[in-house]
Amino acid sequence: MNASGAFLVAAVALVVLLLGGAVSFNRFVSQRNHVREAWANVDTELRRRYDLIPNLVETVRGYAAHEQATLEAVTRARTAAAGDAGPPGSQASTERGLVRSLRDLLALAERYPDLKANERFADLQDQLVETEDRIQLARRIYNANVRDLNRRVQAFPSNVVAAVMRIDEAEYFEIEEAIRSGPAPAAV
Amino acid sequence: MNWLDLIGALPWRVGKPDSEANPPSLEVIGLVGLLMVGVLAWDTAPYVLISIALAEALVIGFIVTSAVRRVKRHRRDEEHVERIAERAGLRRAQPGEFNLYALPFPIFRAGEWQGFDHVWVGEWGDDKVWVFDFWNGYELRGQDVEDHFTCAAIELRHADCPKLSVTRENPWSRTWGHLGWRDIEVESDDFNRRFDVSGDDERFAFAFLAPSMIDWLQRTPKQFEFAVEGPWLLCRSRWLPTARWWDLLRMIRDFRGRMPKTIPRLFPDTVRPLAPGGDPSGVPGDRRARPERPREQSQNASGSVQGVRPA
Repeated sequence: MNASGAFLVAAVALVVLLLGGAVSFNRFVSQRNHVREAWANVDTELRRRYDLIPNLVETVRGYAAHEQATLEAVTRARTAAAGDAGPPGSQASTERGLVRSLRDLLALAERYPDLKANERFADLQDQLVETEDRIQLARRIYNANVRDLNRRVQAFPSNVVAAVMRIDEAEYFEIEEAIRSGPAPAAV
Repeated sequence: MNWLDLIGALPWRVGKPDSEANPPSLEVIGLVGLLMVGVLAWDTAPYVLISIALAEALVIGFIVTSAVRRVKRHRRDEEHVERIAERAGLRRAQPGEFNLYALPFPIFRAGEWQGFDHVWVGEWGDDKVWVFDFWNGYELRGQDVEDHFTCAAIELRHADCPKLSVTRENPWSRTWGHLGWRDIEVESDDFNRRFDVSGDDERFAFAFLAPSMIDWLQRTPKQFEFAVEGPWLLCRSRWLPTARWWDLLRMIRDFRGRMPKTIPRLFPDTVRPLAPGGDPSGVPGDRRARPERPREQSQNASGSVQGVRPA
């Protein structure tokens, strides 16, 4: 092979590499946007829950005013969670605190039958169940997008593009439900 | 057993499944051939005629015996279906009660001709359930090829779901996935390896494929595939003998039972669909108006509807 042939092969290889790199980079950009979008949805659903909590606390206070410690714990946990604008790992930690205190609050209803029978409380509880479902759904979509991004950040050859373009792995977001809804009742 | 049953069960009438109309079988051609030889050999030695008569008697005996066995098997199958249907709260659909083309799934549009048969209907709580045999056919290198399925569909009363299909991964879909045309992937790698999930709405796919649903789908036999669209849940399999209809009914019941509660809340029914009977094409604004199709339909004696080849 003469010099011009070798040059041609090198040029073609370079073009292929550049094109591959560009395609891979664009896919990273798209995946990163998907992760951000999915996180924004998680955030929206979390805020929906923050908005529900004051009403829930006030309703419970009407029947169990002397359970001050539990009510204050929920309010504190809510303030901490709503004020946390950190990365998903940090938010997961404050959300866990909120979930624990919410479970304690809902457990109060078992000790106060009047509260349990209250229509407004039942309605708020239903809304909370729906919100929890929405949070878990948004969380699962977010984590699936994170997994896809992280897989490419770790795997060859896309990890080379990720290293060059400084694309980092994203953090998973793991929280439990404060109140659980099961599958739809069986038809037969 | 009456003579009409028996004639109906002769080899050129009975196929498996019933919807296939078989051409005259080898037995019939053999019988006609032997008769012709008998006529031609009228002048030959008697032992030849006796041999031919014996052979003809044997063939006739074989045909009649097989027809009787077929009738009996058909009766047994019918009784079996009746028992299953009674247990599952189903009844035979009335003529015109079921319109295959109202179902939104692409499988019912595939092929050059389609048809359905053995339609059963029932109500499970708020939901309406349909079970039926279905086939679609196409011409391949001058030969008619038909694919037969047995399907169960549930019409939900309070949900309007985007399109979602859960089928088994095959080498073809896996290759496409490796090339970048990925299906929807949930959090379970094992599930993603075994199933090909496609649909219009990723959010719906995740909502529907909740962990308990994922876990259950992984335990289902390979022959069953699932789809959701609008208010419809569909479970389909390659053609099943009636003895195995109960498996299909159990599948669709469990599929429905594991549907997350959150689905009707997140994807509520906005437009009430028509039941798949009657002709919805005249209803203004109906989103599942039946498209004009260049096909004919006929109704058989049992009230089920059979599609036929276009002329």
